[in-house]
Amino acid sequence: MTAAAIKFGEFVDAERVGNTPTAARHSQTSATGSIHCATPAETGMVNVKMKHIAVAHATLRQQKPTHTILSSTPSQSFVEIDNVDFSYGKRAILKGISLKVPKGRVVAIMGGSGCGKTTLLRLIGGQLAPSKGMVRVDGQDIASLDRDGMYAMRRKMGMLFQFGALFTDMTVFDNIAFQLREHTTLPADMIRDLVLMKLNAVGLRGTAKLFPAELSGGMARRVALARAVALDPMLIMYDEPFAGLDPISLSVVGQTIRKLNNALGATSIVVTHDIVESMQIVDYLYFISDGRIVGQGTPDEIRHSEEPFVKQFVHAELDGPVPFHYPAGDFGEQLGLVPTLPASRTQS
Amino acid sequence: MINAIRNLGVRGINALWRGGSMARFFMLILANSGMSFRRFRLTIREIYFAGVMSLVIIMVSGLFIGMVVGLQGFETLQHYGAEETMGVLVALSLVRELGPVVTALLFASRAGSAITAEIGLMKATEQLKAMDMMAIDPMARVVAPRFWAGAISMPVLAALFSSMGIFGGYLVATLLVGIDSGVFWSNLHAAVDFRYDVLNGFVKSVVFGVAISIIATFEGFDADPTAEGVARATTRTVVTSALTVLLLDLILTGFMLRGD
Amino acid sequence: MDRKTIDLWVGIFMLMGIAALLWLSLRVGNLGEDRPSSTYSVEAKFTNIGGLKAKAPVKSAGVLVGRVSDIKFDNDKFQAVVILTVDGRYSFPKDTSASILTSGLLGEVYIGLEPGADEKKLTNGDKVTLTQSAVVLERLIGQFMFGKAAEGDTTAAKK
Repeated sequence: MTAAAIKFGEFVDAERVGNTPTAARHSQTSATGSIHCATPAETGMVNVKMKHIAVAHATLRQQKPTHTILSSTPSQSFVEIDNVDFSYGKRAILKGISLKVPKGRVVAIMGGSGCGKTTLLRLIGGQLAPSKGMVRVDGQDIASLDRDGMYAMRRKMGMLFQFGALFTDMTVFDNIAFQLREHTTLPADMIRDLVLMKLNAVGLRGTAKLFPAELSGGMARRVALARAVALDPMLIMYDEPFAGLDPISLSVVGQTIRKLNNALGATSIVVTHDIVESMQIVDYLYFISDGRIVGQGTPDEIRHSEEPFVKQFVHAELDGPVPFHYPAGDFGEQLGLVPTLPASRTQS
Repeated sequence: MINAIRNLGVRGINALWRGGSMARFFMLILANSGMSFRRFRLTIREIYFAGVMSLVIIMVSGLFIGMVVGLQGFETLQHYGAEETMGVLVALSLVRELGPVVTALLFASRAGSAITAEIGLMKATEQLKAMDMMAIDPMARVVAPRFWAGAISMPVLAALFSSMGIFGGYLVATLLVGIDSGVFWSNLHAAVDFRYDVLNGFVKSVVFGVAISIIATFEGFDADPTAEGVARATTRTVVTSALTVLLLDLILTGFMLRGD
Repeated sequence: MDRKTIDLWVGIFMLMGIAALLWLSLRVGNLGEDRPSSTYSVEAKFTNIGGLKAKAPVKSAGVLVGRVSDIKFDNDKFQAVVILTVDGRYSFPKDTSASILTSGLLGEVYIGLEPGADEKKLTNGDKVTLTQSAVVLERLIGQFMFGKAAEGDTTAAKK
């Protein structure tokens, strides 16, 4: 009883805090909540919890004062990449890439393996700096930020790494609570509620006490997803979220990505080579090949695209602009079937 | 021949370069140490893994080494009729040399390699990158607590090692050789000086602890992010730590014995 | 691993370490040796101090009463100047004599104080005038050999 009273007190306190531009986010986060944990059996408790969680969200939002959703219209682009070059040493990875990710949308960046998709995410996250051009996130030039500015920016981002990159020395619960504990001063019971909510959103509330090593690949990916959205980021980046998943996990992850984006009002970038799944969940696609953008469009446009690379990719044709063979000399010659230069073959 | 010299040159430059990087890494650790103390729980957890987990091996080794030194010392001392000073021999060799050095070698292979493997594996599985993307500096959250845990655990372990060793020597002296325990302790007490023996040994163990912790965290952070790379980094930690500890011991002993 | 268990073990670990360090310092080392609360220094000059070193014990009647705090060289008289720090609890007559002794044949070198009969006591900065230098073994043997040889000569001369 006293505990409830204290919680109520907190709520009242935060209501006052909530009377700021963040109040606009309030309704949205409540919507998130209803998606996440609408279990009618707990309705009485849920009502208290909902307020409780709304407080937590308000507090979270409070810590990112630079952002308000009111200031931007959906057409505005959240991420803007302008004529960017990048190379590892002498090997050019990206050559003059330009693309825009509008706010509130899910955009896929597609391409074959090793075409620089992951590099692109690293550039947006500021873990790499472009050799030329500009990367702008939420209106700010990433390269111009100092360390603190960069970290402030990254707190608005969530990233799902290729193989989950869950912290192996922590339980699932602690993995998701990690950022909340590091970046906020929320009390432990509020963190617990938030974490359980995130876990519930990916359907893995039951795994809270397990260690990442005890999870299957698909489950680990979903936990990583929950962790990526732990701080309700404005931008969520997914690096190959579908790689190595069975069809069921694959569509679960796909649906979750879409749902989270809508619920959080966030912007998502999905880097993948899984055309079938991404066509179902994204708003817009970019195709990258050999460091250049070779095609773009909405899923419908892509389906009917006549662009040779896009066509090959969409219809999974064996040969096309992306050759089946790695560049090599004439096969017959290499086998010695065509005696073009018999003198060069010395017998010993 | 020319190639051999060239090879040596390359290795020399490489070693120097690594040494420089390590020094810079050390500065980075110090600069990022705030969190390790503000949130001491992080460091406590690492002390558990580095220190408490090494407790058994350190104490058992200390006991055995003390007993062996006692027996060997007795063999030699009895020729001169000085077997009663056996305690002095055991205590001085342990407190001054064997305690810090052997503990450091054991610590490098038990805890140092574990730290390297853990950080290396975190790097290989992109956990460090993920942390960086979450706006949490891995230097402050992962590396610095492990460094401080190593630096704190090492002197504690060395003190325990020496104590167990002296106790081992005492057991040998009283039970096997038959030296009176009063004589054993009074000889030892008269000969071991706090400032020149105990404190110097302690200083050594602190220096070794810092050195091993830098090497272990650096090698882990610097490891190639592959299974093979982590394995190689772990080996390098043990080898580099051992050589560094022995070299530092020579230098420190030289300084400490001067003018005495 | 439970957080409380970790805390407990780390606590035990640190306590053990502190206990070991204290034990090494007090029981094995000489930190616990009751440091005299007050001391006074006296000076003694010797023609030869042999193997005497700083921190060597100062004993009287076999009991430790102080330590050698410094050894210097007097370039006017070409003598060794030894500063003795004596425990304030003990006082010695002005005409006390100091001699450099060795415990056993090869044992440690120390300074022995032999009290005199003066009414006045030694105080800080006083000089001990009666001193006996170290017995240098080589010289002793040399003297002995020389004495023997001389004895031989005289006996030979007598014959």
